[in-house]
Amino acid sequence: MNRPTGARARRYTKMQKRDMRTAYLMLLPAVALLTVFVVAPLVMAISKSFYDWNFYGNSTFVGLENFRVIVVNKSFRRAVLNALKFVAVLVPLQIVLQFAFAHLLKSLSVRFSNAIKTAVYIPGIIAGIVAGIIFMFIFEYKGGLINQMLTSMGLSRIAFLNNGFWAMFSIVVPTIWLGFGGGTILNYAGLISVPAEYYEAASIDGAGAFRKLISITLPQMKNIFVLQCISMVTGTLQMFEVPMMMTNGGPRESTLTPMLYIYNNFKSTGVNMGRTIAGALLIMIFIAILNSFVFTVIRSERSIDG
Amino acid sequence: MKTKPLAKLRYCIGCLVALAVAAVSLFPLLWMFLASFKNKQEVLATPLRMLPKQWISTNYEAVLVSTKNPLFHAMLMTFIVAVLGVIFSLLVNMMAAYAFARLDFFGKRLLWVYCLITMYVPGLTILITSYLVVHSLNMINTVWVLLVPGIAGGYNIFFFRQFFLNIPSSLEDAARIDGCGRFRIFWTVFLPLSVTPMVVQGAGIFIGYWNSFMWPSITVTDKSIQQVMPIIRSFQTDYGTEYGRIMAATCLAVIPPIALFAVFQKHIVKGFVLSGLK
Repeated sequence: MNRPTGARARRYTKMQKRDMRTAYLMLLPAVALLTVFVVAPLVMAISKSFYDWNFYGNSTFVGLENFRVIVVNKSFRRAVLNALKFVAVLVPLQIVLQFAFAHLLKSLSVRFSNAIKTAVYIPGIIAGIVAGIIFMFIFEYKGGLINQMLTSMGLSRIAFLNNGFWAMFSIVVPTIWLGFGGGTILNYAGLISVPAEYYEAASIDGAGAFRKLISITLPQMKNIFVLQCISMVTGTLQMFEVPMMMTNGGPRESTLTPMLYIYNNFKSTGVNMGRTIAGALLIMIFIAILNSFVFTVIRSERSIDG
Repeated sequence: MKTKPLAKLRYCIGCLVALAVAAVSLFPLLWMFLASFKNKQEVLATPLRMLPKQWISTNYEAVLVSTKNPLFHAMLMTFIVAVLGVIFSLLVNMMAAYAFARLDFFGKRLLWVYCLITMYVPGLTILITSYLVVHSLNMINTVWVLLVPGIAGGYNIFFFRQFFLNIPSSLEDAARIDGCGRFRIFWTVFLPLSVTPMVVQGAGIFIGYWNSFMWPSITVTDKSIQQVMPIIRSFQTDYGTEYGRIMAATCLAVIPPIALFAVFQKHIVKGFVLSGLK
């Protein structure tokens, strides 16, 4: 009895060995590429953040000086503050709009809502650069669509891109336009996965439409909202193409974003890159804390459900 | 008797609102398209005209013959890079996903976490040092710098691993009994079963390459390999408010993504939901 078992076990080990070799071969390209183009730059960013250096001069070790200087740097603070403003406006606004529209589509026939979903998704495949150009054209001061409509209604023109509030507005609009379709589809998928029995039971208990929304739909959609929220925050903190095209951070840095700040420093000579990288690392830490916080919340809820 | 017409009315209003939202969503693209056929005077003229008085093609001609910003050539280069990107990206990430989904090996958990962590490194943090890396690899101003850094992706590996985990192992066992090696199984069993997720991810990868702006604009200065979005940007800088021409360039630049979307529309929308719900 013992011998065949032992032989089988040995054969199994041999196969396992071969599988292991195959596994490493199959993983090699992906792991190597991720190491060179993600992990190595990250490790370099951490080490370079302790040095005062630029692309042309020498580098000197300065310890934590870069971090100390960047957090009081006026432009960097402005950029982070602007990004937080964009987050405060864009995240709730997008979630509400996308949810409301998905809710509307759910009440319509499947074929009709599918056609609408396809139509609103199309802007989602347009590049930020192109979206920026289209909306610059629409918001143009003299002959742009919006200003022509305003003047024809007897109102005065708005210098969209030269005024702090309106500059922000004209970045918010294309950003919403780009993400609206995708978000709507995601919300729609979440909505139709809520079990119909919940609503039937609520109807029997005499709950109205509003009550059902508050007590069934919104709690059931919570995980989708949380995931959407976190990806929107991460994306908004790194906003680049639309603001670059529309305002390039202006007027007077009122729409400068962290990504634009880093890009501008990269493009200009003689700036201490270590300091710029220190700022970029702080933003990463912020995003990481946010992520881990949200995942802990979701996981703890799942374990309660399970 | 009375509630029925009311419900019908509400339904109709709902349909109208949905149609209006769809129209507003598509309007900027229509406006871009119409502007590309208007002449310099008309494009920002008061009073506003929806359709061009006379449909002209000179904007397209001007954009396509521009030697300073070779748009057609850039589109071709971007297309080649994007197609290669899709092929290599699918191959590399799917192989890794197969190993994580189906094979046992020493250090599996560690490598899995290693791959996943890369998803959470924001592009902004590693922008400058990525440049240093490709610079030290002598990749600046080559096609490689456009193609290679985008190939491997933690998210793609994650996505395909989830898909492979749901493929019943009985299919694979049958092939193993026939004496197939792991690579053979990957090619002959897993790849053919993965057509839908490959289309979904492939389309996303293609659009990612096509729309990328920052990376090519900082790593490539040679116009003969420049990608389409930096070229669009320089049209905008050169032409200022000559929107007819700029819009002709952007109209051409959105054709490939829109054509791709038209062909694989169902897959892409479904895949978006899958990837969003995780």
